[in-house]
Amino acid sequence: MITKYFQSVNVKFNPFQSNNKASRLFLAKIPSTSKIEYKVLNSSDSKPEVKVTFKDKHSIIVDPTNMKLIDLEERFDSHSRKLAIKDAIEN
Amino acid sequence: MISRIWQHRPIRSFSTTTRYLNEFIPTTQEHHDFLARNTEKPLFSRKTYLIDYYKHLNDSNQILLFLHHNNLNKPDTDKFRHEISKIGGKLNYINNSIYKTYLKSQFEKDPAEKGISFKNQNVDHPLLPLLNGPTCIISIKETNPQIITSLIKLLKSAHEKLILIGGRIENNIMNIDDINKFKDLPTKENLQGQLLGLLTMLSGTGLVQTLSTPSQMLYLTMYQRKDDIEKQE
Repeated sequence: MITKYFQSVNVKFNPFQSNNKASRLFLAKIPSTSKIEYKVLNSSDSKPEVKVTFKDKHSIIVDPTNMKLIDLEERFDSHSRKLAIKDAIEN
Repeated sequence: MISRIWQHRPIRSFSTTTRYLNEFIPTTQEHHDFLARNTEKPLFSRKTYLIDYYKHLNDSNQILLFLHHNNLNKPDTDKFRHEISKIGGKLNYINNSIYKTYLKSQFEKDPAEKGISFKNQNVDHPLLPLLNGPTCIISIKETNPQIITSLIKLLKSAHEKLILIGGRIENNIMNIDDINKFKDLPTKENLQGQLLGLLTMLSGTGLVQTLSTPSQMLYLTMYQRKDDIEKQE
């Protein structure tokens, strides 16, 4: 996963739901250079969510239910790759 | 000639002492019982040890808190371990798959026994979903809400590095809300003291009266009946 262009990451997950694995593994993969926020949900609370804001202020919101870690990474990498190409052209 | 023999024999074969894989010599009855166990994985393997250790953690602690850990480096881990042990808890990183295996066969006499993990592979446990991703446990010996209050204060300073996700207090599975409610309760000893105080205050008048009413009523009824019978005669 390309985490170089992440500015802030916001993860909401419900620990008592069996499909929380992707969001927890994603959270653990983020280096501390980007700003990490989290919210632990309870069963009555709102839906789980992973939100990433990139350095160009673009943000992607994903519902991680029934997703694997690889799928999550793919979603964010698609934008990171664009930024990487832009970076390469400019420098 | 001699040099050729030296070339073809491994050096170990010249050794005059016998090598044992395991040099554990049983001395007490407990050791003999231990060696007689028929475990799924080898007796001296890490997996058997971990299952035994998790059983010990579960049986000897009244509170277990489950946490998600994130990017914790060695100095940070050491710092938190130290702080937590000062408060009265113990931090352990856990091996999820082995902990899951243990939880599924929690009520067996020996969870590491041969065939037990296969038998219980479809058993459900409410704590199982907590064991996805990097997890660690804080174990606390006695049920004391004050320890939890100071722990939560400490965990706030850890920001996203240690996230409290749930726990087991005595036999209840708790989520964050339950734990937050629990930490505001007075201690068990305190409550017992209050109850005792109330009882001693009431013992002179109210309580004794309440407790003796049924027998008094019985006595009066019987006495009345006796009078009635005597009158009839």
